[in-house]
Amino acid sequence: MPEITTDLIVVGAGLAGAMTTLSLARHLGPDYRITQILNTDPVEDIFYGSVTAPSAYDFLRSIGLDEPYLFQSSTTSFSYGTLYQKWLDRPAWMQSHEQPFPIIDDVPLQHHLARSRQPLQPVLMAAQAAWNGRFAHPPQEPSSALSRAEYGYQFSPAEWCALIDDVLAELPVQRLFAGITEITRSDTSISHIHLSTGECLTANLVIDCSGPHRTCITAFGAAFQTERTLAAWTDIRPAPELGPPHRTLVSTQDGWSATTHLQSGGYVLNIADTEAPATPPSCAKIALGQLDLAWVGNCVAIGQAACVLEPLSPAPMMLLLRDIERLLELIPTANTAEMERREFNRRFQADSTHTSLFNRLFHLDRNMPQTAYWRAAAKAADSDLLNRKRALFQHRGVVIKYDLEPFNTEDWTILFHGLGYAPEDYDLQIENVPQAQSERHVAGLQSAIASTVSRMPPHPVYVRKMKTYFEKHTYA
Amino acid sequence: MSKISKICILGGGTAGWMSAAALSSKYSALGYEIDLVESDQIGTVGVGEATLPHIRYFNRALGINEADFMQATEATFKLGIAFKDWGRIGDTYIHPFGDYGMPMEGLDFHQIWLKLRQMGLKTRLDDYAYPIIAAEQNRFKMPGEELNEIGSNFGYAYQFDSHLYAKFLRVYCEARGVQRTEGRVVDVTLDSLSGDVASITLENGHTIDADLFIDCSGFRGVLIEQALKTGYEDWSQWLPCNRAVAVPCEARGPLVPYTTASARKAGWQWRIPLQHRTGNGYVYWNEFISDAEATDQLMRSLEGPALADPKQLYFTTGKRRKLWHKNVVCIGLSGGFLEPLESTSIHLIQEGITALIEHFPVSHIDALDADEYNRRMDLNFERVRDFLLLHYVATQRDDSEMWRYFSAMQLPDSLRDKMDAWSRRGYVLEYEIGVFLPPSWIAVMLGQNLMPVGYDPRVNRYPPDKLFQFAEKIQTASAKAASETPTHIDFLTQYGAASKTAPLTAAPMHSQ
Repeated sequence: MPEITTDLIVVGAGLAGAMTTLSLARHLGPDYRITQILNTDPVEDIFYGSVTAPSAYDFLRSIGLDEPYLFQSSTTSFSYGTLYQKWLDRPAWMQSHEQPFPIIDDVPLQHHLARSRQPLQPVLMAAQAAWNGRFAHPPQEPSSALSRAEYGYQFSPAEWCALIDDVLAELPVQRLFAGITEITRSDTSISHIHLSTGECLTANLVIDCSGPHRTCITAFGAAFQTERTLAAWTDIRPAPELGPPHRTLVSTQDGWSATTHLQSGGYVLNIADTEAPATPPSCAKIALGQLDLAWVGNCVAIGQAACVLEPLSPAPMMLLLRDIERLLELIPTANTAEMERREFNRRFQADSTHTSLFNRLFHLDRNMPQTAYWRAAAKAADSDLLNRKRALFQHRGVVIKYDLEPFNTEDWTILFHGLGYAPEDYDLQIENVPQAQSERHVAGLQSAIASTVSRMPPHPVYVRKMKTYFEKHTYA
Repeated sequence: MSKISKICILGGGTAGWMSAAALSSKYSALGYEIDLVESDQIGTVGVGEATLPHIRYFNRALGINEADFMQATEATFKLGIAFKDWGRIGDTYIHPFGDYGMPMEGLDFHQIWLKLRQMGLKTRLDDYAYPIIAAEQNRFKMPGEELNEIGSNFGYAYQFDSHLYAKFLRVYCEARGVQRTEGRVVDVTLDSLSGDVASITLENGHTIDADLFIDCSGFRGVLIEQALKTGYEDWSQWLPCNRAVAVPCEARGPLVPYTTASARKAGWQWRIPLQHRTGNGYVYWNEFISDAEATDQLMRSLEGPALADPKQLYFTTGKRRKLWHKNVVCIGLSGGFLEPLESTSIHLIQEGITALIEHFPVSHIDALDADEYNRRMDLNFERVRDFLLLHYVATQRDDSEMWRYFSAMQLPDSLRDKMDAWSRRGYVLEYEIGVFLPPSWIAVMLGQNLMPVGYDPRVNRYPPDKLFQFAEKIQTASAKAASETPTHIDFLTQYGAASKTAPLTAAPMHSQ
């Protein structure tokens, strides 16, 4: 056996702790010793939301959680996105996951639509399938309309956490179910972690996944900037059959409510202001915001310990996966990790800022109720980066990009349209294509999508058949 | 404000004609009146003769036939740039347009190689890069459809005669209604209210007004600087070379598919192989070498007789404070100058045109468009600057004043962080906006002997045997693909891109 050179301690149970520990176990070799301390009761995990973006597919596969396993061992289902059925005064729109928009006659699709003032939703493959409650895996051939659809998952955080715990039980990871009684530190590092069992641990790197408790990272004086505080509670609504491949969300007087369609039925997440009349006393509470530095000394914060975003979009899960990927890419090999720390913090700042921009757009400029939730959200929404993005879209329908943003041009375009932003002008490149020709192309695209949708199976049928297929083939 | 209807492009070099071609093609249905003003008395610099792969998309968008274009511009294919004497005197490496090896389960190939090297592997990382092997063997072919396959995992660009390219584009533009006016600007009139450029007056008294001006007037920046006083960010503290001398010569030896950049004591020298001649130039810092000495060194190093008198250029590296100011957008050397060490001159023209089209004034000139254009172009320029500076500072050379200046330099944080991360564990700081992707950074850092002490520890999860086998498979496949590739000249001929005229000679034979 190769020598163990680096000791890693993951602090915290829950989704972040489980996913981080499993990722480390899968990606690192026997030169790393991994210990997880399950010291927290992760009630705040519901704030991760219940949908992922398409980026989850590769991530989950890379840690051994492929679809046969996910669908057979949990009530996970597919997600083409979120239906904002009623967001304030806006008509419903499907915030779907799409491949890059096609370029027709050398001009991007959105300019064709803008000139003719045609709606976006009918030319979105994933959105149309979702509206119709149908699902199929995208094929390899790029010529098929279906290949333009992207998908993520609808899931229950508690279920995924339990599922990963089962996997971890089989892996060479030390797991300690104990509380932390004391953390001793020097100026630059955590030297010892004392457990309620009397054990005392040392590590090269401590990975704080303790959610809003921030058990270790705050020991170094990392400051968490609180933006506002939210309450959340969930309802389970068992259903005889799986619902559509999308989450459904409506805004309320004091926040919003989203129904995720799992194999076991509806999973309802309610978000509201902590003081709102409907907020039950037993709710979970969390402060949105982020750390100034996510890696201090020999301690790095992952997930909610580093940044808490509202699960209004897949943003919290996108950021969690990015946190873990960033950690894997920069996992230190020895005690000194100056370069890793600097780079991790640089990327953390960029990722958390960029991810939060998307959520902020929901809370700008609309006719919002004068309640605590909406007032606080609107106040937090102001951002120069977002204002620039919004101004350019309103001006001419373009989505400007910052470096390596997690939400892509398609996500933004759909959201701007959904929220009712209408560009003042359209791009003049389109004038090279005669309008009739352009409208023919768009009509052709719409009908190809409609015809594809009509041939797709309903989501529950697809999942049932897929599972039967998995069962017949030995995936266990 | 009224709609844009008249566009005036000042200057007819590569920047001017590329801008005119793109705008006349992109907006052909809009009936813009596009005037291009140039003067035959003012020479164009035409330093940029080597390009980056993106130029292919530019030409393709114009509907230009590749073989026709290559024939018309005496172009050759380019797989990368060979750098000589940069890390140490005697070193050579090629910066290819393409990846090293292939990733294994998401791990970059160079990480695997770094580990194997620590275990005693003796190969170069270059041995896993098809475009490098093909370039070294003087071979070329088009990449195939499957860009992930060895032998297709590369991009290519061209080396061409930029005067001929401008000429080629002029024909293209004039067929699309671009009006060329011969003349020198003697006066510029500003709108008293807005401060915009209202019109330019030529020496014959002719006045041209326009809604939008594109300043392609070269270093002088006739509109952006002389008229609008936009200001210039001087970057010579980082890139101090400030002069160049250029001369074409008769071509000798086989036609290679790459540009060469050789480091010198007070600068560096380029060699660009074209079909009809070889382009040469010496970029230097006049602090450490006189113009006469630089010219002498250049002339003595030529592979064949010179085809013209050496041409002297003066410049200050840096960029205009605003590349779009009021109703003037500057494209090309009027916007900034970064030495052509990595063939970015024409590329930055292209970036400027692409960004202009994305933010082209719709109904009027809007500050939002200008601000975004400037933000994006500033990033492009800064990131090219860092990449160029890397060549001077990732080096063991200390054999002259210039190299000692660089070794004592305080680097921009962005570059220092990038070099630190690489040296520690072969990690490349990534960005999205900017031309040079991680493989380019790897090529230069490794090529100049910046060998990481560590590697990505995720490699350790695989048994070494598996890594060795994986690497060997790629090495064999790359060598095989290269050996099956035709020679550059054969491919060029068979592709229909070979010049129809004989190469230039210094002393043409008298007709009988």
